[in-house]
Amino acid sequence: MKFYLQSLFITLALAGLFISCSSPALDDYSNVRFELVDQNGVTMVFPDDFQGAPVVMGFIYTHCPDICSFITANLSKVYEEMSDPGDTQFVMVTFDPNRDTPEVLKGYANAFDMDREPFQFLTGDPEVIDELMIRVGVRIQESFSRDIDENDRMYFLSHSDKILLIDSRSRLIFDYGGSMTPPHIIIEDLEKL
Amino acid sequence: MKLASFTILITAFLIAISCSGEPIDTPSVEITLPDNGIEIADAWARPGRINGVSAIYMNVLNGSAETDTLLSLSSSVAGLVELHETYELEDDMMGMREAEEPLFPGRAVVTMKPGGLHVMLMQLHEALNVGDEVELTLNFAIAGELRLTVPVQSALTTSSRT
Repeated sequence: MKFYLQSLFITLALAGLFISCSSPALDDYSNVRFELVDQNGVTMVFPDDFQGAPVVMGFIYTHCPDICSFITANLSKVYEEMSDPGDTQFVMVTFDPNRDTPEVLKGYANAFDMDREPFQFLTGDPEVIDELMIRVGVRIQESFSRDIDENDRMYFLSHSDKILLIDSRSRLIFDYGGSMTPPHIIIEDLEKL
Repeated sequence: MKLASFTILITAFLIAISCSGEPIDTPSVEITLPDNGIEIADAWARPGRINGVSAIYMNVLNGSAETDTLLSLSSSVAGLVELHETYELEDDMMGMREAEEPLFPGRAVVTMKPGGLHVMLMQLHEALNVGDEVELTLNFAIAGELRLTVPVQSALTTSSRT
């Protein structure tokens, strides 16, 4: 009897350990389909074209004055600091598709020395981007604008500060503060997948 | 058997702790105020593409006893230069607005850093790449005009926003 109680106790402890270390999915994107375009003009479908390997995904706009550059830098740091990134995919998606064309995204990627594998910068039709942002929980609203001349207007966006970790089966596993999360925390979570 | 159970429990507890989040590092910087007037330290600009935007970060050291006011900013690389601040809205949203009171208290340091106060460069006339330099002029009500040459550095070499 004593043996069985001890076994039960150990089993419960190990179950607790498993629960504390495993990462239940926060969402499942496997049933959605968003047609996007990368910085080279190549059409990509999320999540279909990304299945089979983990995805670290950040959300930016290239006219972002401050925060987005640190979300972008964080994504790059995660890759650079991983001892074995394997086939992990690093993806930035703009939520300002009207201004962020593939060409603009390519220039932005160049400024960060990220116009190379394994980084991808994605844009798309505004309606598709809107639907994608709703699905991934990225909120956007215009913060302020200024007329440059009769034909042009400069505007800035308030937005969620977010990086997502998506597993190889298109399940959302972690949702981070994009600009403020130290890269090693994301790396540790990647290693748990 | 009791010892084995206890060891497993402790191990499980320690691993469970290791699975939780960790505090964010906060760098400490030692800054000495000048005897008088305003000095700028640790200024750097982040890269930007042509027609795009960039930001300049720095420490503004006001050694005088009086609060000074930043009246204007200018740079040859940008069509528009303003003092802005990033702020946190509800639901983890980040916003940006023009700084309402560009005041620099006496005998104090104001830090412009990612996620906070920063000099905003808009309508860039040229791409800013790592290794380039940016001319920036700050015009204070008391300290007068300060001209800086600011290096462009990668955001990768700075710490995460904290």
